[in-house]
Amino acid sequence: MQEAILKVTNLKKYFKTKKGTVHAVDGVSFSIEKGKTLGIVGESGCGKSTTGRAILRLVEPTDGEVIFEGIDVTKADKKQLSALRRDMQIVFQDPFSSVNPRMTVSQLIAEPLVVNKIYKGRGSKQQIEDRVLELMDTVGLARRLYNSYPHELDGGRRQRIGIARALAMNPKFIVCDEPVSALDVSIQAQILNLMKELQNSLQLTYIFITHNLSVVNHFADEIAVMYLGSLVEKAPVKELFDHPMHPYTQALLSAIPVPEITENEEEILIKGEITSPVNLPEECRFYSRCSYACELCKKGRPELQEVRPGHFVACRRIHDVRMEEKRI
Amino acid sequence: MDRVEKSCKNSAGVRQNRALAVWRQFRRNKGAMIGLIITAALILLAVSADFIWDYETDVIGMNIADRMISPGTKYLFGTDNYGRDMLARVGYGARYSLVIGAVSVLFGLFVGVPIGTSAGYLGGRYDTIIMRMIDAFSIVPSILLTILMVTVLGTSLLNLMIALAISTIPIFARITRASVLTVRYNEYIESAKAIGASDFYIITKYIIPNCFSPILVQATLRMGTNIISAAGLSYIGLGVALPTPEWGALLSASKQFIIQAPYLCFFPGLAIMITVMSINLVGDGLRDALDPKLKR
Amino acid sequence: MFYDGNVSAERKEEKKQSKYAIDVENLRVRYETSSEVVMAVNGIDLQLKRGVTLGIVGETGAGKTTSMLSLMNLIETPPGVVEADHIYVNGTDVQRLSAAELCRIRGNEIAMIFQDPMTSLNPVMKVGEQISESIMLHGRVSKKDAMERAARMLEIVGISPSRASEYPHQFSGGMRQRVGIAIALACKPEILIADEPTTALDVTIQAQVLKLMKQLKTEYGTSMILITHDLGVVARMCDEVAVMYAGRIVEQGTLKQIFNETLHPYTEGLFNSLPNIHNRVASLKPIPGLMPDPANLPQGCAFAKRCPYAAQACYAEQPARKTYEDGHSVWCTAYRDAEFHIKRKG
Repeated sequence: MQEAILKVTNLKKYFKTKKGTVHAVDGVSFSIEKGKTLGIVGESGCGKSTTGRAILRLVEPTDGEVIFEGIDVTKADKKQLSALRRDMQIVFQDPFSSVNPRMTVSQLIAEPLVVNKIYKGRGSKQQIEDRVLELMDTVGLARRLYNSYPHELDGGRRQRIGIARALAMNPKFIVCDEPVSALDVSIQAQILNLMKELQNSLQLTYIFITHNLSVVNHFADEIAVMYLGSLVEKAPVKELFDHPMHPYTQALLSAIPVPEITENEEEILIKGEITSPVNLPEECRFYSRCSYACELCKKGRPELQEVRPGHFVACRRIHDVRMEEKRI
Repeated sequence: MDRVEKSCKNSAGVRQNRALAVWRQFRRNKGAMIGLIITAALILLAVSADFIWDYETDVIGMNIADRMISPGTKYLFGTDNYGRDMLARVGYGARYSLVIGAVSVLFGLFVGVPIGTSAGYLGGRYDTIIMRMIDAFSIVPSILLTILMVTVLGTSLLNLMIALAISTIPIFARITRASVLTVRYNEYIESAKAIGASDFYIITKYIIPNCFSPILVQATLRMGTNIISAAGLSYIGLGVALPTPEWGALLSASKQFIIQAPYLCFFPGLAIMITVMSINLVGDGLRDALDPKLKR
Repeated sequence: MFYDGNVSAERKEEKKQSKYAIDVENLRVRYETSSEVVMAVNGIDLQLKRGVTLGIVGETGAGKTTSMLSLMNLIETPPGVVEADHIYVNGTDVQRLSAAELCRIRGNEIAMIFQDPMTSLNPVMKVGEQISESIMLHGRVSKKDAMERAARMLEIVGISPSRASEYPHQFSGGMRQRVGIAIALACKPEILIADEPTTALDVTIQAQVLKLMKQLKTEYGTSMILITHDLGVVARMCDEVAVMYAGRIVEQGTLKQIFNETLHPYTEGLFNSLPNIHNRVASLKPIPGLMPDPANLPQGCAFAKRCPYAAQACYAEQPARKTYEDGHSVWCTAYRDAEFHIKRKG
């Protein structure tokens, strides 16, 4: 077993608003081994994007530890942080809004090199140009697009720009925040394949944030399911899909529309919608929507417990849930 | 690398295309084009005024023999009570109005844009304090504020410009802050942060260029307003003093002759109106041309 | 046609005669701007049988939404130019209707649910009023009755009627989409067009909304067209499917025919690019390249450049429709060869 490249402990991010404190991320812990992909799955508003940004300190975490290769990112000073930014990168969701519309493709890809002053002195211009062209080849952008503007390109190509920018400084770790959800299916597959190839050839470690369970099933090694700022279940991908245990995960999995004709499929519909993460009471976050909920669930938040090897679930009624599963 | 070099030359071309697209849109707007042509003519007049008229003799030199002559072939705009050619005086006056308008707006931009940018970008308590101060400033109507400042500083061309500029600052601070706020939460700002860009880099390279259009439009429109304010202040004797042929001052001097020589009021008034209107037409045209929603 | 009653009598006659809820032949839509002509829809035939849900599948820019908007005569002209041999909605040729007659048909006989539940609602009007407004527009109903019916509609879509006096921004995305559905169904339209109704929603909410739509459809016997890019949603909701590419239908048939007896290479490509939930190690096979620019379409088959089976003939001519005995249609030149079949097997 390899050592973890990233270890997140009790990460918290609260936002103060007029209505009260928003518990966007509320005590999330996990670790990732080098070269692996952790998928973070959840619906909008569950805090998955904030988690990704807090790890990179694009938002300042309220509390918790993020250890990347032995350095605590949350306590890093400006100089350390700038060094960390080279190793830890992010690919954004919306290829239409995540690139500056006033810069050309080459300027966008060169920007990380320029900002971090990777090449210095004479000939640096040539070096940057060579590196940009190399990156364009890597991500499959035709060289003739060197001086195009993003608005002239489709979503898939813009996302390739985003990936090239992230790769420019040879990072070890990339947070992928819904990188394909704004793209059409045929383009989505192109980008997913590209990211998989890059992972293999460059030994990248990914956090793959998404709401699309079938994508993450294909892409991740391990999956963490998030609900209202907390992890409710975490397991290797096959284990999670074969034996989902948390009532929320079960509902989520059954809600995926599968592109094939199935007779009489059973849907587990959960009632209501995700509650607002403002001033949450100390009870199970899923309490108000859960069909297994009982008085016990109101007494504090359940911790993640290992119920099978590598399979963690945060549910007090897990035994009843599993009993029911067996009966079916 | 041949191909790259070739397309490198295109890069300038692409950027030109953007400006060109705005220009095409602008050109379609008839009113804006008329405004632009008149404004250009006025600027030309202001720049070349010294070559056309001699300030000492034509503009402020008295010629009692030719006093109060109605507009005709010899004096196109007539002469005033000291026998000075109104054409020369009104023509030379373009210089003052345009300079006052331009300088006060530029100064307002110079101070207001950084204030608005920092407030919008940094946010939080700093934003609150700055904007409350700006609010306090704006409670007083800008013309009253200007009058107050001119009274304190004393009347002179420079003080008039300073006063106008200061009353312009809140407007630019506000509009800049508002557009910074719309740009700031774009994902590409976060993307710049992620690659390690500093705040200064982000503000100068990302925020300001993307807020440029609304500020430019406001600056143009504001220039018209400031020209009117300057004329108004000169009219009530708080701006440029006679015999300097500032249009407001000309109006003020002519008002006593409004019955026997209405042309003395008519031409300076017309000049103010045409100038402000053409500048506003340009501003409106710019707004339409730069609005991405109206493109195509 | 001297008085209103006569007209509606005639309308009823037309309706009875028409077998199809929607019958379109050779629909073409293009947008003309000063610099280019965008060929959005390039000749589609579409028949929607009564009580059936037809899924229209395709990627961004395939012309799905444009073709549906032209059914309701909602394309802005200019820049749009709509041409068709005929467009019958409920047996009426909508191209010949006056603006007033069109208004009566919209909402009453055909209604639409839009993709973005935020922008399709009026932000300064109470939700209950928005529903009752559409009821009052289409029938002589008193305000009180309309409000009562609006409250009942809210209840049907699973929102407490007490929230009728709230504004759209007080609702979440899923709730807003339910309000959109309530408005669309308020006048019990015979035909419902749903344009990506659940794309903006989370999966669990999507499941709720889809279930609701299915229930209401069975209850009211509505004929429905569902526009989507999500084949999973199609599998759950549709009886028949039409696959669109670059402004044309490339394959059409029953759900089973499209999913299990796929004929067109593009449909095959769509299925192959989806991650397979049962086989996570299977690699994705994306369709190479991009959809052609609708302002600059190739002469032959628009898919030829991305098609693994493309032959010389594909680049030269537009593929013709080939319909099999079971009603399954495909627009692909390769099927002239009786032996031809694609790799994917049901």
